[in-house]
Amino acid sequence: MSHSTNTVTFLKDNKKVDWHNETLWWVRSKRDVSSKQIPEWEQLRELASGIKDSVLSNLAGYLEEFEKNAIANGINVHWAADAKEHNEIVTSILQKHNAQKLVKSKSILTEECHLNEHLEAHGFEVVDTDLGERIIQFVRQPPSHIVMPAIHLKKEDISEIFHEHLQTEKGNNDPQYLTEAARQHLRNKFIEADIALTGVNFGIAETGGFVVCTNEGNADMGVHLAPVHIACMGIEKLIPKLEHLGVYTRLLARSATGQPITNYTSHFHRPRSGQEMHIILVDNGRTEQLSREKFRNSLKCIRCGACMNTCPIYRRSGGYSYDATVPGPIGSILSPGVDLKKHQSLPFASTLCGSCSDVCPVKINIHEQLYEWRQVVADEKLDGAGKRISMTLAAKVLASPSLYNMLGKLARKSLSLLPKSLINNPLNAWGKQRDLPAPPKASFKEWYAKNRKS
Amino acid sequence: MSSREKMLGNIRKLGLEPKPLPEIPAFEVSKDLEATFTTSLEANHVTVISCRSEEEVKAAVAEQTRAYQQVITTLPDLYSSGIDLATVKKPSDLRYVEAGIIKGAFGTAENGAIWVPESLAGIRALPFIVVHLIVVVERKTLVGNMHHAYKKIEEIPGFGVFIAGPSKTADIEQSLVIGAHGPKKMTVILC
Repeated sequence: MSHSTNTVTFLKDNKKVDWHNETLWWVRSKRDVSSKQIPEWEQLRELASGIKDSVLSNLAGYLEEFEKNAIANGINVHWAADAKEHNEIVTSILQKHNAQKLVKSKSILTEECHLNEHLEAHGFEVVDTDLGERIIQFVRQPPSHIVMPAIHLKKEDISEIFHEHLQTEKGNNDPQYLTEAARQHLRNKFIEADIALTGVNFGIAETGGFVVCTNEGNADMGVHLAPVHIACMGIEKLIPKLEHLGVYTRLLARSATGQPITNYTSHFHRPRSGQEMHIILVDNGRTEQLSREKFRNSLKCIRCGACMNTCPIYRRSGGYSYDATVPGPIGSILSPGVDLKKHQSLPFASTLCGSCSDVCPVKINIHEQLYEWRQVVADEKLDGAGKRISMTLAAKVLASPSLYNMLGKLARKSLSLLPKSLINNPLNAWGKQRDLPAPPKASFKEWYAKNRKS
Repeated sequence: MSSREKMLGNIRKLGLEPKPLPEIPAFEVSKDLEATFTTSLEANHVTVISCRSEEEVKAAVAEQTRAYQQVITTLPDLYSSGIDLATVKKPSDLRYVEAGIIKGAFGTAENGAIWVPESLAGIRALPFIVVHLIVVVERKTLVGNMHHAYKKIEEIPGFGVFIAGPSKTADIEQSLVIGAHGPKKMTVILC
């Protein structure tokens, strides 16, 4: 299903669309205020992009350096070529420890690998511990935003969900009350957990450690209580040196939510005494994306979500319309690389206004890549016969001045005579919420010819 | 072929030209580190108590912990009747602890982030599991921004964390709630 078809569901509730649109714009505005507190903001973006350029140009070297140092730190390093292998590695660690219960902090990578479904199918208990993720896990939904996973739900919805799953008072919509209920519930889960799994924000080649950023402290609650820690990292998350964190920690939270830094920026280098630590380095299409010169830059992404918050299409169509693990502008340049046929409509879910590129903390040229993907989709003839035929015809008309003049005249005459139903009918998607303007009496060319003479 | 060889091979066969790393220049920082540090923390729902002597610090700790029965600290000089760290068998023993008092290695003015290596946390879980986290920071340790902060970390601990405020969430309709999983309250004693 295409993005525009999926959007119909989201657009049914006008009030919710407005709320979604305004809330995300508010987050974007907070980002603006926060970024302007740093005079060297643009320089930082430049640096962040430059560091990632270096990483991507020498990824194999950095991965080996990371592996060597991580092993020296006492971390078990695993390599997973794809989602399947990643999930199998996690399962084998669980089995080795006879583990039953796993607590997880936010990891978009494990969403990408569909780890939860895999583990549940093998009989393990998986508990997402980020509040937003726990909410949607109760109702078996994927995140609709990578930083604010439950942004598509209203507090009334969440109150209903908690009433059913956590026996909270019916109709009590107070976020404070609901959060407290989740806190009590999850505290038990943390204490009972056999294994804690986290994502990784940054892996540091030079030191063989990694950084996890949260505001809730859920990653730390899980990891510091459980006897085993598994961290899952996409190979593009590497940075060369510790000092580079200075750049990224200044950019990440300011870009994501407008706060100067996440409340917890946790650095893991060695397991605590008696604990076991694993890191899984995952490819799952990343080396292939690296091979595409025009789209290589998309791997610089640090998953702040700023491009979603600013995107006029994302804000008004919701995360689910994208039907992809990462929605929004960045997802629309990553997903076609994974499955072009399935995601062929995503590069068109954009006005190409460029706002995504303007806010991107690592300066990914997102809107240009969206445009590039459109060329690929057209070359592969995946964009539908209707569009292809109309574009071929349009190209013919626009290439021929006489044909253009003639058809222009014809259109101006016929549009005023033909019935409105020609535009506003169910077969014409364009006409659903639009009317044509009244046709002008003459073309500019005719007007100019006439007025220059007089 | 192992996945490791396959992944590294896929990357190497592209034959990309290694690009140099950019130099990070020295950026200007606030002239009044203490004021900036305090403002950053207060904006993030942290109470800051400024002290000028050890007596003042002790008085502040006493005042902050007066209501609690269960307090744990790595600083017995400041609070003597706390739970003995040595008696903690496993981290979950700390689940009912009301307050934790620890020292921060240094503070970062631009965002209030305080570096807590595991040696200062005592137990890795401590700063996260207590209800009220009290962190003592010496004003002479303050640095301007995160670049200076990372330069100041000489020895990388097995675990270390920058803490900038109490545990918080805005996952329900973007309404801010303090105390998601970890501390519901944070106090910084600046001395």
